[in-house]
Amino acid sequence: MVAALDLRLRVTSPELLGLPWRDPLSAWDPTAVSFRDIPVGPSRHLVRFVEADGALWALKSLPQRLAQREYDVLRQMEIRALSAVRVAGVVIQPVEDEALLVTHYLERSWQYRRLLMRIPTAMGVHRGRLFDAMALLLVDLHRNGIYWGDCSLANTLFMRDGQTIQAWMVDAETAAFHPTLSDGQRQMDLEIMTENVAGGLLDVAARREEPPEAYDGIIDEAHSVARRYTDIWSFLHDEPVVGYGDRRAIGSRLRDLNDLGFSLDEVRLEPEGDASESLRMKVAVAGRTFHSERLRSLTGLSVGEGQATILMNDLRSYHSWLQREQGVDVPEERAALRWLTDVFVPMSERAFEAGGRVGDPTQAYCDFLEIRWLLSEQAGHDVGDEATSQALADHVIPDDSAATISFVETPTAELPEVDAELLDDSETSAGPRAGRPPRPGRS
Amino acid sequence: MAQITMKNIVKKYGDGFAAVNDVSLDVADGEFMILVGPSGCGKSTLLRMIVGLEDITSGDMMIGDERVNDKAPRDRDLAMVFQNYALYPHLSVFENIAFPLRLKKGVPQEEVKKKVEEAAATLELTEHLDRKPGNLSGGQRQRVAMGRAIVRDAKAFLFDEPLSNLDAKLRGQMRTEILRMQRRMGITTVYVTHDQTEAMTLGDRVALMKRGEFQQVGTPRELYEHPDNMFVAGFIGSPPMNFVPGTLSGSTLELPFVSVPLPEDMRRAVGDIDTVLVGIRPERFDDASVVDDSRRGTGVTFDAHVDVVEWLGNEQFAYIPYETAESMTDALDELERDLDSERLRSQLVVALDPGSDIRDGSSATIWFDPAAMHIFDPATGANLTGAASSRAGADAATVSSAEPAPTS
Repeated sequence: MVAALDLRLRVTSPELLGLPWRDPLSAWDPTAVSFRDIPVGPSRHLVRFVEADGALWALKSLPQRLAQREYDVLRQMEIRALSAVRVAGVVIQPVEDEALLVTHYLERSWQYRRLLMRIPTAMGVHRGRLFDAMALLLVDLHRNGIYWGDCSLANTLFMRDGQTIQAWMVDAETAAFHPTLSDGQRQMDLEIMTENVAGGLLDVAARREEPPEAYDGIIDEAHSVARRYTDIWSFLHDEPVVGYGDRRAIGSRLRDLNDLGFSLDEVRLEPEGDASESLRMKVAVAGRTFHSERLRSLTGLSVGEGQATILMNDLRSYHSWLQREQGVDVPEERAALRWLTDVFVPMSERAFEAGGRVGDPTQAYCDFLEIRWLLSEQAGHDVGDEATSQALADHVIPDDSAATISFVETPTAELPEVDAELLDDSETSAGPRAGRPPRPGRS
Repeated sequence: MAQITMKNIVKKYGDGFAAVNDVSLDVADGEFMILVGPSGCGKSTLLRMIVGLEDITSGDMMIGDERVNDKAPRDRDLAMVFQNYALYPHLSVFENIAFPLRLKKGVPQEEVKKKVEEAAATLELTEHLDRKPGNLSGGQRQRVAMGRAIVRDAKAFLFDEPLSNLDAKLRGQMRTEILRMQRRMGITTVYVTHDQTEAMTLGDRVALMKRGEFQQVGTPRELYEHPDNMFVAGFIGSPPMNFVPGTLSGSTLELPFVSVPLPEDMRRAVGDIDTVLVGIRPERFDDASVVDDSRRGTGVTFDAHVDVVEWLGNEQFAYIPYETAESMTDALDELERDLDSERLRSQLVVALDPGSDIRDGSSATIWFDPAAMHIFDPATGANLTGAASSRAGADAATVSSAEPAPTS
């Protein structure tokens, strides 16, 4: 039966409201709607990107029951502050069992093909960052009772966050909420992910015409995501036995958790067996927001956890320098405010300029700090701001630097308007339309 | 390959809610078993317990002769078909099917080749093995995904609403593909759906669930012709069975539109209940003027005002309004809730011969055979007259290859 139009949007963008919601997405007129050509992998449903009121929206056409379900799951994920695309609405169309799911386009994110096409298999460090990101995302989801059911590279978007990469879930069609997940559910999700990641990586390798000898290594990489997941999961759920009064052991475990970014929710020490001197230590962690929350409370800056980790480090060094300089104790809050105005604001702008205004100023400053550190390590002394800026501007930066990834970035503002003929090409090309960029770090 | 045996399976959540409540079922080796029911009936939970995604509160889950309650999903040797549906555009069809085997280290190349070629032959994909999936039709792409499940050498295939995210066009096509594959391979299959048409067309047997319990397990034909209760009768068949109130006086059954003399065996089966609900499928009615004389005598006729007629080419449906007795609304309301559907209240749906010339707003004489009636106890919903369980010799557990019953 054909339903009546039922439009539910969580944003009040007049241009978005004015789209031809009654018609099937496949029939929208590209001369009347501002489609944008964003490379996506093959999808089982039709996906189009539309610009409305200066913002980009992803529209996916799917059966009504599924659209409603995915909308609900994504809303739940938003409430739990998990890394998933933010859903902007769901539209039940007056078309035989069709609905549209509207999500915000994730600015400055990458599709894995774009990223991996430019990072050869040999550059293991960067690929490792990608796999860490997937593993952490799955840990976060599972801790919150979400079974994904189809975790894959294609269903994930990646974003730079300091020296790390942050993974975002973009397809929740098969996802479901449970009060808690059973071990079976987690294992199944890991198996599905391993298989999907292997498929995605092999596909990119085939596209890059890598020799079949590389394939074994690729399969190992896919398995490594599950290993990374298991390491983190065990670390979070380990309940080590510590001696009463062993403050060092207790403190080091808590610090390790903080270093991974996890804020602590509760620490519990329970007597272990009859020996009252031995205690079983149970730690409940909250979100991965340890550094970002601290930075926000000190400076008001709202950035990713990976960026906050770097910035908090910088702030700490600045704080020590300031105290040495002034010869008195300076409260952290005061140091933070001075760091913000005297260091962060001018330096992030300078780094952003030096890097050719790619990405955003905060990330540019994080790259700047990392490159300066790596170059200073190579040189055996602090190379200073000037040399770092120059290296950033010339793209002469160490291979291992996370900043090398930034050179695959294309600013979203320059997305081409879509060619109407291309819309029929179901497998929108994910390959490089322009030539390959120069290999970062070598010139 | 193996049989799957469930003994007194219970799934209770922390809050005490029993999503699956003491169900037992044998799925025979090679059988195609459907778990069907409205949303929230427990069918997906049961499937997830077979796979190992959901812990089992109590009961035994057996695959072959082995109790698997505490086994991890991967150690159960089952394949969830379509869980991983993505096709990789730059890998050949061969590699798209083979890569789950590549993930298991140490499968020799000849074995990979043999398994992929066998799967491709079963799925009629042999000539496409060297191509890229972009060149395949929608149905062929789905078959590649099935190939991935086949090469695993699983003991059974499990499907969880596999067609629900396909568009209507592909859905019908895929139903046939799945059935063909299952028949060729003869592999034990458990298939979850909320769609009664899928259930009826695919299954050797259908297990219909409501609120965590089986309502009836049997061949599609048994469920269609001999439903154990009103819920089964209302769920199976499209358009759904009509339920009308009836009052017994002696051996005459008074319906809102006609008095029907009850055959002796039916009269006995009803016992001393005097108000009943009567179920008659739309396709059991006809336009009296097109019923031939030999059949006419076995049935009853009544005159009715036809509100609307829907002509669909190969069949047509007439809608006939009537008054429902107040006393029956509770039972019907409950049935509506259980079926999770808005039913057409207080009107009879009658399937007419496509040649019938009854028109909107006209009066017509409608015929039906009282033997086609199902008489239900409004208090319990039980089928007093035609249930599979009440027929001598009926064995609901028999695996049958009966042709699926017509559903539309």
